[in-house]
Amino acid sequence: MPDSILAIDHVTHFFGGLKAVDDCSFTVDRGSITALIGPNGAGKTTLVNLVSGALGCRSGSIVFDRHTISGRPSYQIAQRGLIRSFQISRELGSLTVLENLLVVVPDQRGESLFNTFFRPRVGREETRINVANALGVLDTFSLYSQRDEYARNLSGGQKRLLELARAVMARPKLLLLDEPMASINPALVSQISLHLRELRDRGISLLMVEHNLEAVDELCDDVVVMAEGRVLARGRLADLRKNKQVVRAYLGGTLASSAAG
Amino acid sequence: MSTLVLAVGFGLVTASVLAIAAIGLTLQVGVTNLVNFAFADFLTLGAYLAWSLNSGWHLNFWFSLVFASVAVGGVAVAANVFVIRPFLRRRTPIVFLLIVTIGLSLILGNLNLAIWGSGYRSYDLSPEQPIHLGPLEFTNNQLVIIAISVAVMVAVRLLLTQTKLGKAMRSMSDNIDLARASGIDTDRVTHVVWMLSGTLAGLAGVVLALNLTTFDTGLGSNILFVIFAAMILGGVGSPSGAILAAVVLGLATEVSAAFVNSGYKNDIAFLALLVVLMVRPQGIVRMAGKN
Amino acid sequence: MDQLGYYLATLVVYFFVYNILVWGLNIQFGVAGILDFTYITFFAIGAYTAGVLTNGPAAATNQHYILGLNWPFLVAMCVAAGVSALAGLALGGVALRRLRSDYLAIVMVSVGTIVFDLIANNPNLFNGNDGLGGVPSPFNDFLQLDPNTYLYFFVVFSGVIMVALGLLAHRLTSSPLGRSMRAIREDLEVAEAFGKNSTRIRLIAMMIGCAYAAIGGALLIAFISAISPSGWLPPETFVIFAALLIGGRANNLGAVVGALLIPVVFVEATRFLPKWPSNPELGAALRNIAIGGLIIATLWFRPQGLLPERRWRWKGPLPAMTHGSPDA
Repeated sequence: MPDSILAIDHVTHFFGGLKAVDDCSFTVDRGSITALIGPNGAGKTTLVNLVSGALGCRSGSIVFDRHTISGRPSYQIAQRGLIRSFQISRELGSLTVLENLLVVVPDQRGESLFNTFFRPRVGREETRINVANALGVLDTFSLYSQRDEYARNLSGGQKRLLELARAVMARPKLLLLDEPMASINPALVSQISLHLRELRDRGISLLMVEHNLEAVDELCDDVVVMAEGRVLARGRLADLRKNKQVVRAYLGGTLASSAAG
Repeated sequence: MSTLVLAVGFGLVTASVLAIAAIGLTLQVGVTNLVNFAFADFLTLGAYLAWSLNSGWHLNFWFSLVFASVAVGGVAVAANVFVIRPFLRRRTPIVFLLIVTIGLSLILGNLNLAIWGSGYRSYDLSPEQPIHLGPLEFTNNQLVIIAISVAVMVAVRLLLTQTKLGKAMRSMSDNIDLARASGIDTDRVTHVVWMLSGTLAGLAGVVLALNLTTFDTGLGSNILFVIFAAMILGGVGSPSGAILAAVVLGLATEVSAAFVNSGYKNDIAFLALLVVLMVRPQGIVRMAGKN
Repeated sequence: MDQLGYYLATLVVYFFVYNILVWGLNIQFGVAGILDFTYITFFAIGAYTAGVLTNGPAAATNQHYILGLNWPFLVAMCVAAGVSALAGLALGGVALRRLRSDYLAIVMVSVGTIVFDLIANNPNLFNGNDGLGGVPSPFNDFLQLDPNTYLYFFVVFSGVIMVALGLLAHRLTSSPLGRSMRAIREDLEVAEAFGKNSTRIRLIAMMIGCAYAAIGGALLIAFISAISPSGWLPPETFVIFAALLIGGRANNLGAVVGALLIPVVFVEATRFLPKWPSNPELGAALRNIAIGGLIIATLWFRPQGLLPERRWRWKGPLPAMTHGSPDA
């Protein structure tokens, strides 16, 4: 049995009186592409925020790559290799596209105070290597020509691509993607899927929240369904489509015609 | 012991003045979510306007007080319309909005200095009579200040709970998007809030000047950060919190001044603020939506 | 030397000192986005520290202050920078942990006020409101120059320090560390989502800025030989902010332009306006009104300042692209 890179164990989260995540437990296998799907308000993004540390996890535990990360600040979780993208693009607008990729590279010796003042060459060398890598990544995501453009001047679709490029550049062990295909030109979606599969082949695990079920079908080995804060089901998408509970959750349980699915 | 009693007396009066100002500020920050560094200058302006009316034109003091307060309310609305709102419409980041209010403060504060000059002023009033209430001793003016303060508290409470406007203010304070979505004319309510907070600031300035008997252009700025402390300690957007914090801080600062070098009077308030914010960086937030 | 030469040389020294001050604030605010509304307090810490270290024992004068060790100026200046940086660390440690910008600003000014009150009300520390005076001129024990020649020496001396600090500031802002500061300024949550310890990095920016302020203070007290609390009231911080915003935020050359325009040209030029007899403060008041107006006007019409932040480009060799995406 493949070992799990991410283990979510009985995680619960309240927003005031509202239970957004309700005793959630599941694992993500190392080297897999797992999808997290569910209707709006199911708690998927809250769960992503809990895993990445943007929200403090006060109930339950989250283990990443054999380290307990629940309760840790987000920057420490990221330093361990758990990198996330955002549902609504959050590019660093006053930095150029190239800089957006340079800044996320982990473990930069050039960022130490000592090196900055006394050994600037360290930073310059590192930057040279990172620039070469970054340009390759930008090219992969069709952003090469925009490399010196301020990130805030990109189009909406380009910003989504930058969101992905940036996450890839951060040398993740696990990529936590929040609706990566949203607002992306349909022609590009399959290209992105190809790149994501390449990442998996390089040993990176992926957990993605997605609404685009076609992409999920094409890409993901494993699918977790959430509804009303709870894990509803798990399996291959084809099987889940036949699961009455899943269908009902997606369609709100009001339409009789959905029972035919 | 009598020093302590005296200090408590002073503390209550200071608390009354603080309360008026803190209520005005907390309402404005609650609704607009913008800390206004020019608030101090509203106080100073109110005090000086009242002085010009009272000592300059020899008008009745209480009339001057009312007129000056309302005038400052008008200035506050003008500041919102001509300076703050345009920047808000442009979605300027909050960091720069704060600097804009600093710029406003530089302008208003120095306008006070330019028009009235440095040097101490006093109001033209009949001499004060001492009045004893139990062990405490007040002057008649001080009792009026306390009375005004209580009247303001009651009026604001009635406004917030009984009127449609007040309820609009509370819901904007809670969650502005929801308030807008439920049909509240947020622009109009914002204007009213600025008017109200400016009027209360002007009023606070006049009674502060009255309490100090002589005042100069540093009137507002000397007390601004204590008002901030009262607002944060009481919870932004909560007038009752502001009142409670004002009482605590008013008493604390005056009582401490009786025992420690009075140059440190306001520092007690700052220390309290520091301690609270260290423990709870979000402040004593009344509503979850405010961050 | 003639009066004009003397005056100009003095202006030049002030210009150098303000350059250093604006650079320091630029690192804190322009690059790292920290709203340090009490920046002038760190200037004061630097000035007072250098003063009491280079002065002789207080008993020999009719002032009251601590220490009085007769240390050489450069040593005292470095210690002053260190003390100020530690003060920045202490304040930042309290204030920079996820405090929203407005609370941060309020906390900073409150602490600055506490420091001001402590110094003004404790005459034994730094001679209170009378100010600290009699500070010896650097190197003059050794050089024994007459006042006119010494002035030229000091211009060169402070100029050298200024240039060194400018180069360091440039090195910082164009480095990976500077880039991470800008990322944090832009979006703290995102920077943390990519592994940046924002508190630590902002503290570094804070401390460096405080050190700059302190060096400026040390140079100025060595130049004028004295400092008093009235020389570093809260509004002074905003003159420096004005210089930074107008000259160009996050641009070290912009900082120089701002330092020249505001504290030097604008403030000095208006010093010569005739005083209104009935209101001697009028000139200063009008000047501050103009500064407030300039700040608002700049933020409205040209928020990036005269010299905007420079776009970073990789200047070295580019690798050959295999996918052949043509340059636009």
